[in-house]
Amino acid sequence: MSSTAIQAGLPPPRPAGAPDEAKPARQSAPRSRWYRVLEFCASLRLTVVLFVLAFVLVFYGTWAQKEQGIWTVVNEYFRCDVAWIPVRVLCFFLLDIPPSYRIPFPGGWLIGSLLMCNLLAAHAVRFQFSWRRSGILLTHAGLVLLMLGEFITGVFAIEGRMTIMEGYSSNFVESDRKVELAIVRRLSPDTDEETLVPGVKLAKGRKLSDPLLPFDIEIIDFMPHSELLPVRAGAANPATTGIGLKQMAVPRDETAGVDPNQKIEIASAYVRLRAKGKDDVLGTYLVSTYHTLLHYQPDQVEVDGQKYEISLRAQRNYRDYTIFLREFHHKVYPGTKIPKDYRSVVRLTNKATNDDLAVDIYMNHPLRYRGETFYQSSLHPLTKGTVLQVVRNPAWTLPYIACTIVTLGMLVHFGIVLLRFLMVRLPALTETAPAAVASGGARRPPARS
Amino acid sequence: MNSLARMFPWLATALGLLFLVHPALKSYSRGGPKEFDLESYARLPVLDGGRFKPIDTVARINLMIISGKQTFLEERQDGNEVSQLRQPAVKWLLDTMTSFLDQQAFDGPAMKHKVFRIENEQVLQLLGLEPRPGFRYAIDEFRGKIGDLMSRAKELEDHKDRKQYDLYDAKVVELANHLALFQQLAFLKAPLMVMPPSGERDKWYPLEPFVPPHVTMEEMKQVPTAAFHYLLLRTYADNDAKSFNEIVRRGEEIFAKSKLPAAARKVDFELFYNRFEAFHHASILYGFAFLLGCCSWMGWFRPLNLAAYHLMAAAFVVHTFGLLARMYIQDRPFVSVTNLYSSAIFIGWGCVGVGLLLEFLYRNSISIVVASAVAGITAGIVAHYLSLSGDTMAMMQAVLDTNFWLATHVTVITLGYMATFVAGGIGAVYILLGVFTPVLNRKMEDIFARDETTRGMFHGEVLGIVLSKLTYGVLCFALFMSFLGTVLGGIWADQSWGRFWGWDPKENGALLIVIWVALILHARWAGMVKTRGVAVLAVLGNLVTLWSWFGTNELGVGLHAYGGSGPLSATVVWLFVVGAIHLAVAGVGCLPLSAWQSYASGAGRSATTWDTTS
Repeated sequence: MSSTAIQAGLPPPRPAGAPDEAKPARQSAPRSRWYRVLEFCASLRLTVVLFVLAFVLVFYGTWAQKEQGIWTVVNEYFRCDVAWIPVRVLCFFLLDIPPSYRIPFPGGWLIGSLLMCNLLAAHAVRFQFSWRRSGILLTHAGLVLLMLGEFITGVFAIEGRMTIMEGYSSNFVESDRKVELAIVRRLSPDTDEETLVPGVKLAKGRKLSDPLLPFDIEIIDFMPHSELLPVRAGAANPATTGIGLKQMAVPRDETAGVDPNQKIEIASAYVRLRAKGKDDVLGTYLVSTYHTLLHYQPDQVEVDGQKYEISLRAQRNYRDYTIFLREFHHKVYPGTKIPKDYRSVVRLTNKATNDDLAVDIYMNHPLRYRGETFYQSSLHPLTKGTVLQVVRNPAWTLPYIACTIVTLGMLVHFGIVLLRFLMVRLPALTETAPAAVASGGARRPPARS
Repeated sequence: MNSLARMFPWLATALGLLFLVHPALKSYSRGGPKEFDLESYARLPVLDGGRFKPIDTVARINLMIISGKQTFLEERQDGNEVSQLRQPAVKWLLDTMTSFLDQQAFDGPAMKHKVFRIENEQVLQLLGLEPRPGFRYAIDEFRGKIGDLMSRAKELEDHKDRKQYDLYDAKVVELANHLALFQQLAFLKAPLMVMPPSGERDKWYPLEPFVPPHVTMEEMKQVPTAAFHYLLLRTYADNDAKSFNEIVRRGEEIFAKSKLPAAARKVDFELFYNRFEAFHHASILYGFAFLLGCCSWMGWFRPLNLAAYHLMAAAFVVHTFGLLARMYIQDRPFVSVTNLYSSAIFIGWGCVGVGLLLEFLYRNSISIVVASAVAGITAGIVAHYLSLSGDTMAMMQAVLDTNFWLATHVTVITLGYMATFVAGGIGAVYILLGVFTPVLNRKMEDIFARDETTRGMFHGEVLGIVLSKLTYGVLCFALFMSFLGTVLGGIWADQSWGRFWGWDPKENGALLIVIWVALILHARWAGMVKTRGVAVLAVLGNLVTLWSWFGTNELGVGLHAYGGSGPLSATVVWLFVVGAIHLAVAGVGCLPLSAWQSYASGAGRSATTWDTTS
């Protein structure tokens, strides 16, 4: 194992039948135990083992998307230290084993950091600069940067979306994956008081209380993946008032990452409100992100003459600026349903800075504004409106730099290998061949051994 | 070397070229007193699937979807004798479009053409049909059962999730779709044939609302292209070849004077492209190159090897021309891959390019055999099946519609796929030759010692070492290309939705190739594997690439429109067969060296050990 080295290129071929050369003698001086540990960390064998682990993780992380949403997989396989892979995924869903049977496997963070250590250790132990090795150095430096970029993105990047109807404006970005329970009291036509419960706290049976609210909240049921059905006669309906009397939420499988007709994930909850300090039940309400998506008027609760609107919605993040959607175009190719162009004609205004921009956002032409980028993502599923993807990623330039370096590195390294090879081979092809042909008859094939 | 040996390669190449060129010289019937001028009709421009194409293409695509072929056999009754005549797709289209012209019940020759391909036994049973060779049936044969089929298909589409379809369900829906397609053509709802006076792409219409009985004859004449097409169909239905030919020849004049967009003026070239069938013919020649390459090992090496080499080069030129032609027709310079079909074509092309280069560096026929096998399979067989789903030059979704990224990311990643296939192919040859023959450990001169034609061809190379070098070089190329391609894809994704890497199945597939190739190379540098190990891993690499190329699509049922859907789709079955073959070869490669005929004696293990120094 200790004989491993980051090899540069092809070792020169030796003539057939030549005995193995003795391996160059290793330094025989005794080494400290720590050096040996470092040498182990630096070994190419470890690299290969880590590659195998990475391969298996990525492979099953793809298969898992047959049943799970892409973000669940990203968090449970790639952006974690230990991935608990269900046995049903391991056997490609051929056996119907409940998802709770799982085995631990090194996760993306772990494999990534080990690979990083391995790489750094390898260069620490065997660092030597030569032109022949320059390509490898570049490649590996770029890879370190690339992994760093993915790490920073995983930890710090914020993604959200902004949904705007044509003729309306919006000043908040919604999370793709997180929901919140919002209790809103209108103070004036343009000021609201919002009391928010983040989605992670919406667990079944949980009781929530807030001094600002004249009532307490009990979560009767919370379904992160659900669908809404009309209420059927005879079915037990937890809701006692509001829209819940017409519709019922039932749990559904998570939308799979590979599902070609990506449905929107709908979360729903039943919440019971009780007047503070009393046992009076104000009612059990159905709230669902489906309703906020469609701009339904939320259910209202009236306590002491104050009206509160209660809704479940994608977690919001307010901005100082407003984006107004003037027009939204969605063109298809004539005679087909193939989309040809999505385009949002928007106007961005920021009162604080007096910015006023009129821009078109369309495919591959995002708007970059104050560290955030707005991409044309899709169209509103039901009404005429746009969905913009909003991304803030402090590391967005890293992959560009990293990839350039890696590409250059490989170009240099493999270029050197190729050149060295061709410098031997091409003369052999052009020079000796005609000579051999000329003396063709005279040359006897060597006797077989 | 005698003169025959000297002449043979050139002779073979000339024959090959002749074979390639002859289809382009043919044409459809140009008309006569009793013959329709199909040639002129075939090149009329129409708008279909969002792009301008000649009627010939519309006919070929639809017939391909329905029957799996671009021609059909017409049955002719001469007294008691039934003769069969191969006819072009455009004749089938004319028959179809005139079958409902008089608003009578479907009647006419189109109902008698045996073109509907129905292979599934249960579907045949449902329609009351007997299996027959070729599995192609005419509507007249199952007319009475169409209602049953349609109601079953409707029930499936309304009440069953596509993911739950079994093979029978999928085939019922597929046939229903084919019938619907036929109906669209018969009712003149497709393609868009009526040109607006401005020629503008967005304002073309199908013929149906412009012709009787929806409008009067007088009204129809207000719209010149509608009247033109209607009269053509009318005279064709009336079997009036003379008038048909007169009218169709006026077409050129009508369109020449009109404001036809420039894109629609490429139809003549597309007709030529259709007829040339460059990829089909090239892949047949690859088949011959493969055979010649294999035969060269039996003896008479130099002439056969050179013939295979030149033949492959000739086919490569034609293949290249086909790729350029597609770029020109689609108006996408430097973009050779826009869908799975074109990726198969392009992989074939890349293989041949690399194969020619490797064979130039080392004459041993092995590069020819590997490259022509991969190219024949991808550009010939795989591409054929992929073309069954419809237009191979279909318009692209908005998000994919950028020439820059198509030309860079997609091209590079496809070359990466190609390189892993070539490396895997050479690895497989290494394993098979090593295990089943003694040649791997010998010098080329010794292997061909009895073959007079090889004098002076070799320079003392040991075959095993040569193969190992080739695999290594191609793997390096594969690593570079797959890494660069994956990264370019990430940059594209960052440009279009702000996420460099999203861990979605296709991205993961590309990453798997990168990891796998990196693994092979690092394992080799670490001395964990030697040439034999690299060969085995390279063979398994083909599976990784297949997974990335097709498997990830199969995960999401319904992403692909070819070969049915569901776990039993033809694609999945083929993937399993190919996968099993690869596993078998890799398994053979794992046999101990004592089981390898080339190394059993242990005489010279040099070929396996040359690369172990470090």
